[in-house]
Amino acid sequence: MPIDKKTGSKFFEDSYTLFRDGVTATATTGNVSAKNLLNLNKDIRWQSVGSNDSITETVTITLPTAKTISRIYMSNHNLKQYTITYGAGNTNFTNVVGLDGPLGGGISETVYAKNASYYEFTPVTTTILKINAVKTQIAAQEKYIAVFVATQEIGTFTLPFDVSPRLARNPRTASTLSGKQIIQKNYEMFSASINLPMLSNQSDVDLVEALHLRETPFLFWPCGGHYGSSYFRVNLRSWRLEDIYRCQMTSTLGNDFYKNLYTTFAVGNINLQEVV
Amino acid sequence: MADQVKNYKVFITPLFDNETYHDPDGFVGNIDITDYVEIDGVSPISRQADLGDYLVGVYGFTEIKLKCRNEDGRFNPPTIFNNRVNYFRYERDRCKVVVKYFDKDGVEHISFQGIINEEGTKQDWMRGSVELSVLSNDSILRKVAIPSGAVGDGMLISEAIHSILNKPPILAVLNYDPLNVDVGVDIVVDLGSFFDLKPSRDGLDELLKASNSVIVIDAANNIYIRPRTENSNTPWAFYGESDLHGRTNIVSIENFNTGLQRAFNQVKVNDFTATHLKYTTRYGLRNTELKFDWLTTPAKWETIAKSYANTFAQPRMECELVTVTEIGKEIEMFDRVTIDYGNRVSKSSKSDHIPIQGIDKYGQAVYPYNQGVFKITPKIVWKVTGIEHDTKNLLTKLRLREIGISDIEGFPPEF
Repeated sequence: MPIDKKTGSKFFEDSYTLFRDGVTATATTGNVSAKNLLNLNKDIRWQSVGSNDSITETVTITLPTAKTISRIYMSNHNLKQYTITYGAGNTNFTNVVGLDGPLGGGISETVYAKNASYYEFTPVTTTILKINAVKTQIAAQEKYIAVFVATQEIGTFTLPFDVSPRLARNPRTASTLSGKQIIQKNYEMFSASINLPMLSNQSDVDLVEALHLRETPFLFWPCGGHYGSSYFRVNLRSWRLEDIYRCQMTSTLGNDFYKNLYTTFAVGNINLQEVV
Repeated sequence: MADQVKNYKVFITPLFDNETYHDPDGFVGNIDITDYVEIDGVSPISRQADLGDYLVGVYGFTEIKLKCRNEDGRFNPPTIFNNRVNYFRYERDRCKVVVKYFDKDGVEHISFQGIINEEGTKQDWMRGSVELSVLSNDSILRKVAIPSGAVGDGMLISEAIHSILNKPPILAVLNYDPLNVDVGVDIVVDLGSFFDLKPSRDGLDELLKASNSVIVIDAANNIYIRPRTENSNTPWAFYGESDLHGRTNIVSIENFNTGLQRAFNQVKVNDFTATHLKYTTRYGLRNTELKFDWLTTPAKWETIAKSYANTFAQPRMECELVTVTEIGKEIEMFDRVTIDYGNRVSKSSKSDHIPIQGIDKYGQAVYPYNQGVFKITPKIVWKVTGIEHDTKNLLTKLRLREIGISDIEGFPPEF
């Protein structure tokens, strides 16, 4: 079955395929840029050189130690036809579910048209992941991928709770003698306030408490895999498929029952902040 | 294993009698007093050369203060009010203190070891608090006098240092291994009597100055005598805010300077003056004077003067780099460090990515926005000359000095 339409945002472990953690990537062409997909920076990417739709480009990602993964996320890419396998033997993932429903025969797309991909599958333990890119959405373009994440899921809100994302540029402002200002904007920083007015499912409570107890950052995907006009009237930053953030929970965990009635539901509010 | 909470803990080991350390119940070991130390109650743990005289090369720990809650009198000295919970049944002075950092894996790292100094300790009866003054173990060097005749005429500096350090009162507190003595300029002492009955610290200062060496005492109380040169470790890599791969681990860079204030291109030792003319022309005359009453041979004055002029003629950049203690916990004095602090690069509004040299094409790709006036390339290697741990915010400040070749001649200054 596809991503549950009634669910809310998703939370994942920090990516297991980060360049800063010793993960490496090589590519058939554009090898010098291969490592650019091993982070969450959407502005840099792996890009092929001299490629077209008759040439298959392979990006091989090697982890320093084996990791168990069950989720793959890829964004800011232009791939139409591609496969993703694991292990030295190019093994297919099993029980794969994508954004639009189950896929048979592993992660294999032939007419993909979105700029972000997401797959859930039976967990595997591996040190090697391979992306075989064949065709681009606009024919015969250079192939590119900006973000590749392999991870495990921490949890998904069972309801679309009230998420209020904020994107700050943290400008540095200096006043000058002329009375005008010099403003230098910093990199965009994400934060969110999540209002939980009706925590009636234990899984949501467990998820919030797990985020509270964590020492390490996690990935927050506000849209939770939902897209299109049936879910979002307008295309809004923070709510797009390509918007995934590394965060930590910074707020105090308040554990209240609605109007102190223990048999109703819990209420709460948590704050998330993007971290390096 | 899941990540553990990173934190500092403070432990004490009381004196049972004049020579024995354990608590009143016979427990030999550290007592955890963390719950009674105020949240900002541990002053910064700092290790650097003596303030104000950077030519002196004793890199020990500075004194720390511990602010503790004392509502129940547990930190009282035995002479005031000796109740059941009091830690200090014999003496509060000279009780041992250890500050440890516990990292995300639960591994403990000793950050500081010292002994309580009763003279500097203050008690606030109204607030029910006490501020313990704790001197690092290397303070023993100030309390032990050099015996008469310990340093003899004709001894090499390295031998004189060995003679000073290899004494029971020092060995009882610090770990000394003769193999860890490696001086920069090892010359012969002319007047050994100069050192008689001086504090060991003062005697070592003289010998280290003359040999252009430093003494480093690590958190485990090991003594190292060594030249000012850097360690041979793989450099610790630090990345600024603009790192595109998310490796940012620099909180801030402070007090960046060209190092001109520490440059000396003319050094006078007793009656001999060594001058690096090319550097005086380039940077102006910058002189300093060293005096050694225990060296009477002009040739030795020349050796020392030239050694210092070679070391300090070329200004070396300096800065202070702040990072998280989780990274700084393992960095040692004189370790090598690189800093990759580039301009802030962001993609142009006319492009969907930052172009890659060798991949994107001129005429098609769009140059990114480039902001910033400050750039440090990782090609420059730095050495750590000071370490300061902020125990409240879990930050570590590294004082760094550039390692490099002369920018005048393309090689290190040399006569």
